[in-house]
Amino acid sequence: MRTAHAPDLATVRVGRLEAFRRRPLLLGAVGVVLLAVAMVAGIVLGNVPVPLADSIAILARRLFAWPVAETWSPAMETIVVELRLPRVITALIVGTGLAVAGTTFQGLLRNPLADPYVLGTASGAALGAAIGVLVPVQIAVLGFGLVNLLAFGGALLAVAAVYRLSGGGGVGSMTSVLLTGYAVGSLLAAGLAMAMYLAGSNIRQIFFYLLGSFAQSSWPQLLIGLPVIAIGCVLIMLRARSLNALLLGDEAAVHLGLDVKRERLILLALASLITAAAVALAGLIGFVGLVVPHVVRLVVGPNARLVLPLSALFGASFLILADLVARIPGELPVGVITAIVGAPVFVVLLRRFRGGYEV
Amino acid sequence: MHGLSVSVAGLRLTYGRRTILENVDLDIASGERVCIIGPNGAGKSSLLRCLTGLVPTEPGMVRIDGMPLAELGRDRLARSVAVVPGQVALPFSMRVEEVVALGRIPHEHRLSGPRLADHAAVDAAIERAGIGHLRGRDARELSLGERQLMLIAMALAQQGRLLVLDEPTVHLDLRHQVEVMQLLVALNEREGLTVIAVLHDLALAASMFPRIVLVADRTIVADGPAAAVLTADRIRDVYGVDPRYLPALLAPLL
Repeated sequence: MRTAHAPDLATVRVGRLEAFRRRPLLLGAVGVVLLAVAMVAGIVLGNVPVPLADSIAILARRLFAWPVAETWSPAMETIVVELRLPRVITALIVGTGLAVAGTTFQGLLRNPLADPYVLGTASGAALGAAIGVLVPVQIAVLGFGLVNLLAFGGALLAVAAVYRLSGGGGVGSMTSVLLTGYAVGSLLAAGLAMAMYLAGSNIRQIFFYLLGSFAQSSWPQLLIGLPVIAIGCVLIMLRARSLNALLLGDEAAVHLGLDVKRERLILLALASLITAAAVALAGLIGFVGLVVPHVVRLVVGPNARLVLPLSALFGASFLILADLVARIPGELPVGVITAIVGAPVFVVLLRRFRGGYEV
Repeated sequence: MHGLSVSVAGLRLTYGRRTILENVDLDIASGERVCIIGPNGAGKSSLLRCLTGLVPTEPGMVRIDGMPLAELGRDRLARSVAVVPGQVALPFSMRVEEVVALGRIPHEHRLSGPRLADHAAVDAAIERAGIGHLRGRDARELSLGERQLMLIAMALAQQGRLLVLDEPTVHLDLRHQVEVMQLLVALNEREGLTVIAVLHDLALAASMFPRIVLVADRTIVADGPAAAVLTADRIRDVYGVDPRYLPALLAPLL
């Protein structure tokens, strides 16, 4: 028998996290500390360990031109400044972008299973990358090779096609957008299969891209990739109100004063742009955009004003740490690590907070 | 603070070649409590959708407090007219007070979010709807009756002076039907809110609303107190009910 005073299982378990729910800033502070620790670990640890003091001194000297005596080898300096720092920053910005885009797609589509790749972005990017591998042309724009550029273009083209084919999304039509995304994704996947069949010995390169990696991260790539994702994320966060209004559905959102069609187009475009930029920087990395927003929501509730920035923080830390784990045994694809960690975490969450989600 | 008046003149609504509403004229004064009834597909919900700006209408067909709907603008409309959502499916787990707080969206600061006044309005709305005991509960685990009261609280947090409801008592047990109705009557009589509701239960409509508007066949066919609108002949014609069943169905009215 259930009395009014007997809290159910889910309430008891969430109870421990209640402090964060009452004071989300506290969780933000935890997120900032975690991010700082992850960044330091990402710079210090690796196949060639660089002592913490030396790392700090190198960065102080190179970034802020502090007059610090050189007690390290030039190789160490190159490792820190040219390899690890851009790599850590790329993981940070990609993790931020995927978490924010995932939160946005889940809110827009009102579907907890949505992730940044749900509207065909993944297959579009994959097909673009595969074509980039097949075409024997070498070009590089701002540090991006043909593979990255075609992945970026493929992702954006796929979303644009989905949006157009589904009729642009009037009030109450997000289901058709989702289904169109599935259809377009399946079609592009067929193209990808064909490209892989034709790739012969280059197939490994395509696979590498499909599973994601930060091995190619460089400063020139960040020069364009970082501002695109950062600005996109800020613009989405400024529209948190719209995501909140959409929680109760399109009609309720109209009655709360939202221009549903316009806001949805803007949010969709921003989230897709972020996803495409993230894909161009690091390939397809799953689970960050799906799991991180859910974990944050379970702790602080679905208010987008909180979920967006907190997801950004934890997504960044998660991906920096995942990349660290991926490169220590010798360059595993980072997407494998995020899946190995993300999938069980997701299953545990769903079981614990049963009733918390229904599809 | 007075309730808003609504005036509809020569309203016509078409979807493609299908005419949904035509020649609809309706004047609802400030502080009235009006129930819209009619058979399924007659156009009741469409009429509500026109009144609340969900469906665009030609300029001047619908006026809120004398002001054409289009000139009111989205923001002011959302702050003046509170619509209690019909079917709601929440995609994520949400607490009752978080759902009620959504009603503050038209008022809260676009960027910095809710302020003290917004939190106070949410507390007041929860209090007014009598759902203080539901705080902290997962909104998706509520009974239908509790859920309806939560959605009304959300509309109250919106602080509109016109409250619009589409079948607020559907699927509710008797106790919750009465609870919802008492709340609507109190909001209307004590706080002066204009209330417009669509109902299917004729007996409930007749006992709780001083004015009944009967919509049938794309237009308003009768408008006035229950006794004048709900005559046996008219109900038989409009609803197409076999006269043999009428006495049983209408016993509470006649």
